[in-house]
Order: sequence, then structure tokens, then C-alpha cells
Amino acid sequence: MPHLNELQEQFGAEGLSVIGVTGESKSETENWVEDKDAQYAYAYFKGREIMSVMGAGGYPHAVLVDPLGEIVWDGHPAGLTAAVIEEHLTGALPVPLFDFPKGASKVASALGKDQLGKALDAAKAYAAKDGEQSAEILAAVEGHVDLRVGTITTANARGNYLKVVTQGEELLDALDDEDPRAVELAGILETVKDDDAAQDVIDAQKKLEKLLGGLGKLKKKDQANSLIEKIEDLVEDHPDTYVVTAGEVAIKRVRVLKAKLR
Amino acid sequence: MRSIALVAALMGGFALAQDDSTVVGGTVPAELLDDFSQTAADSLDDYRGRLVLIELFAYW
Repeated sequence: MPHLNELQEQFGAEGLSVIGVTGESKSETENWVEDKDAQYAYAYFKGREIMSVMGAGGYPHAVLVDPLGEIVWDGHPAGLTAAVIEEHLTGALPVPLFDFPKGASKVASALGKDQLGKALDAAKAYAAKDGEQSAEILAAVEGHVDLRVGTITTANARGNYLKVVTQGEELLDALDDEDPRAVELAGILETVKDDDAAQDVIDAQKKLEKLLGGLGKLKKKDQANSLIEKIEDLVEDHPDTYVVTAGEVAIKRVRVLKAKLR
Repeated sequence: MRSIALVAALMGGFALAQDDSTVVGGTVPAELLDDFSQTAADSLDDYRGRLVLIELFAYW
């Protein structure tokens, strides 16, 4: 897999980690990795769930997962361009947590526990000692926090209030109260909490979530059609809101599943 | 990398990208992968904060 070796080499220091995953046996995989001189990490899976999660219909297939853990691209690995990777490197850590310098172990530990306020304090203390890669690490932690907060402000601007309240509360807990970004976040959460229209959207998003919770139980096309109708009704009741966007995604997903039903 | 159900992620973390994809906006549950090699990582969770390219491969 020279393509993956090249991507790891080209973007590794900027925040990209490449992981090959296979369901094959260890001995055969190890021989293959050696034979192909694969330089990146690899891991194993069992069962078929990973195929579904990654949207794979065959091999090879890849997904790009952004620094917040969200899939942002999927397809044949050869179709992944440098431009797509560069677009999502913002806020990525320059080294994986397990490769942080020893002196920055407190930073890595706090990041691993999602304690962003503590991570920032530790990164500042490490920078004050002028430790290895300290400036880079402090900038990376600051960038990561900015990315997290930016995701919430963007969700708020799009009217995705469920994301604002679920991930926003979590993020607020992870930040120091005095951090200006925490103050901004608390203001957004307060506004959404006091906005009846936003609360109505959140209720609808939760209903949509509940409807899709039964997706795995669908056996017949008629059931899928019924589910699509319910989603369409929900969308119709909430025009000009994020429910329309989320509903369209949900319907697309049901239709993909429906095509496989009898 | 949090193990959030795909459905929840679609509703709460939908990304406006790649129109033909049904998995964009979802997550890869860490528990689906194990026995990491050629890395000090033990789990997908250890890559928290990195941009991660995961490739499904078979050698046949």
C-alpha cells in the first residue's frame, strides 16, 4: 500500500494517522504487511459491523475520521485527495497522545480524559519550561479547543440545537470557567435553553432519533415506507429548521436500507 | 474517539459533505477494532484528537 505509506509520511507530522484494518488471520496479515512494507499501524476486526459503520461494500474501502471523531469522508482509498486531508487537519494534534514527549505526559493524560482546561494549564506549564515540542503542543491544544468550540457555534448557526445542547454541555464541563470560550459557550447554551422554538427543534430531533432507533428492526419495504412517511411528517411540521436537513439525511439512510429489504 | 451510535451522530453531528455517503457524520466505535500493531496504541480511542484514515483491506 504505497499510497498509504506516502500519506502517513506526508501528513503524519501535521496530524494524520493511518490505520489499516483487516479481518484476516494474524500470521497471514503479518506476512502481507512485511511483504508490502506497510509502514503504518494496523488492527483487526471481527464480524461485519465494521463494514456497515464504514459504509463498505467491498475492499479496499476507507473512512477519514476528523479530530473530533466524526467520519468526514468515505470511499476507495485511491479517491482520497490531499485536498480533502488538508481540509480536515485543522485542530489535529501534531503527535498522537501516546507519542507525546515524556515531559508533556500531563497534557496527554488530560486530553485523553477530555479535561481541556487541565490540558491547557499543563501545556502552558510545559511551555514555560521550554520542553520538547512545547510551543507546538500548546498551539495544538489551543487549536483543538478552538475546533471544539467552533463546532458548537457552527451547529448553533445552522440551528442544530440538539448538537449544541448535547456536545456543548460536555464541552463546557471540559473547559475552565474563566476561559473566554467557556463564557461564549455558556451564553449560547443559555440562549438555546430560553428559546422555545429551539426547544421545539430539539424535541423534533429527538423524535427523529427515536424513529431511526428502529432502523435495524426493519424487515420489509412496507415498514421502511411507513418510517419514511413518519419522518416526512416530522419534517413538514418543522419547515425552515434543521429538522428538514436532518430529516433528509434520515430518509436517505432509510432508502439505502430499504433497497436491501424484500 | 467516542463510541456514539451512528444514528445519534447523524442527528446531533451531521456534516454537510459528500452527498452520496451514508456514513459521513457517523463514528467508528473503538470496540470494533483490537490487536493494534506497529503502533504504541491499544485502541482507536488512543488516536483522540488526530485526523485518522482507516482503511479496510484484504490481501486476496
